[in-house]
Amino acid sequence: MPGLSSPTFARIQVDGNWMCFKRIQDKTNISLMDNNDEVSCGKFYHTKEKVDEGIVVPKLHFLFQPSPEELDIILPWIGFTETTDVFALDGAVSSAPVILDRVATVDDLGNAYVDKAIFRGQKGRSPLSVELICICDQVPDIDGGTWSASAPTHTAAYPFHRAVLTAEGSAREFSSFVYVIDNHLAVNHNGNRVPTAFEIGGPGQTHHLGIDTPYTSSETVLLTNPIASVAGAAGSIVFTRGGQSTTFAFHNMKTEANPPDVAKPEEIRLKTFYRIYGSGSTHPVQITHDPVA
Amino acid sequence: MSVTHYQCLQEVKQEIIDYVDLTGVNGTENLLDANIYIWSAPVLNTHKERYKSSLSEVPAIVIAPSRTVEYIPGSGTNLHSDVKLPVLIQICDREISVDEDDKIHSWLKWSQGIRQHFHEGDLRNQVFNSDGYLNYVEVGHIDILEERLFGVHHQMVQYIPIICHSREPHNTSGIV
Repeated sequence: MPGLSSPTFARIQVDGNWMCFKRIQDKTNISLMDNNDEVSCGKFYHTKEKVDEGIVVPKLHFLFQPSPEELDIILPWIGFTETTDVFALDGAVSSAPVILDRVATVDDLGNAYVDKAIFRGQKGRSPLSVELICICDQVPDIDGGTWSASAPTHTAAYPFHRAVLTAEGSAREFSSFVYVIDNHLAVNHNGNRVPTAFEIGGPGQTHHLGIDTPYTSSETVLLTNPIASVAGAAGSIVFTRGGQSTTFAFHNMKTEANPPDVAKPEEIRLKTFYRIYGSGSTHPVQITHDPVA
Repeated sequence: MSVTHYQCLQEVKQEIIDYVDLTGVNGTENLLDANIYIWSAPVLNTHKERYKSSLSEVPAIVIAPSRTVEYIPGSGTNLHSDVKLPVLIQICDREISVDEDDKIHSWLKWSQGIRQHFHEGDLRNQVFNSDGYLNYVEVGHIDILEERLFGVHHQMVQYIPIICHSREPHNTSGIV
């Protein structure tokens, strides 16, 4: 009698590096195509139709709770280019080759292009997490991969309480944040079954930051400043632990003024959603990341 | 003193004195302000001697901290955590015969006054200090079928657990 196939020993290799992961979900979309010539002539007879698989968009969701060392691998995957711990985005699409080892078999997922990168942190037991929504340039090649990465030496992921948020010029207490880099990835199949061309979609690369704060006299400026002016302000989220640090520097954060939530009797909370802008040659976001403990 | 839990006890006592009607029904005994005590532990059978010496007059109210506090992991901020500080309020009286309706009526009146005052609100004089601040108060869960409670707690005739929600700063000592 077969037992359960435990995911405990599954491993993922990104650009030759062994990574820890929290969850991998297959969200592949397969279009169905009707090959019957009679369809185009309007002679439908569905019970005799044969439907073939059409184009495939291999889509995978990766959820990591990365150590600072793993962030050093994930940031270039998203498209950041490093110059001595300073990671800059150039707005170009980026990918990394991904291998999934299910111990018994090693699958080649091809190159995974990042559509969205979602950084999350919240008060509680879970550390900083990164979710990557990717589109691959091939359907998974089952048992077609080769595991070559050596065991990683990682420190722990950043706990949330190591985070310092700066918004509207001062440090603010907060209970959660979500930062989304959205490439609005557009794919072109060019006559192939799988995508062969990847580019940033129509809106261009967009950056959004959502924060959830208490609403006391210390936070009212988060609401009143956007009402008074649309100028926006710089901001940042900084994680620090010993020699390790990661700074998300946001060039200009603008938001619409929304009333605070009165959802529970305990306290009034302010949820603010910023669109992050650059100016001139300055990109909206720059990350300074030192993974060395 | 700046310990939040201790301040809660003092504030609860003062608010019962200030805002809860502790007169007896139909001329039965009033619960006197002087008979409201803050104790280190609830009234128990094992406290009989202490009960006799300390609660020389009844009816009385004993306010005591619960031994167990609870953190709420997902609640708070990057700098503070939310903690539940339980406070037990006991109304104590001498044993009565079963037909003293007005006496029973008094106990329930005082109990109702206390729970209505504290449930889902703030303490009127909120506790704010560097060690934490009081955010919210609720009446806690009582197992209505747990009659043993009244056997264990000698001459306790009503029991109102309230939970004070405090937001307390993280101790950052030693963090690099």
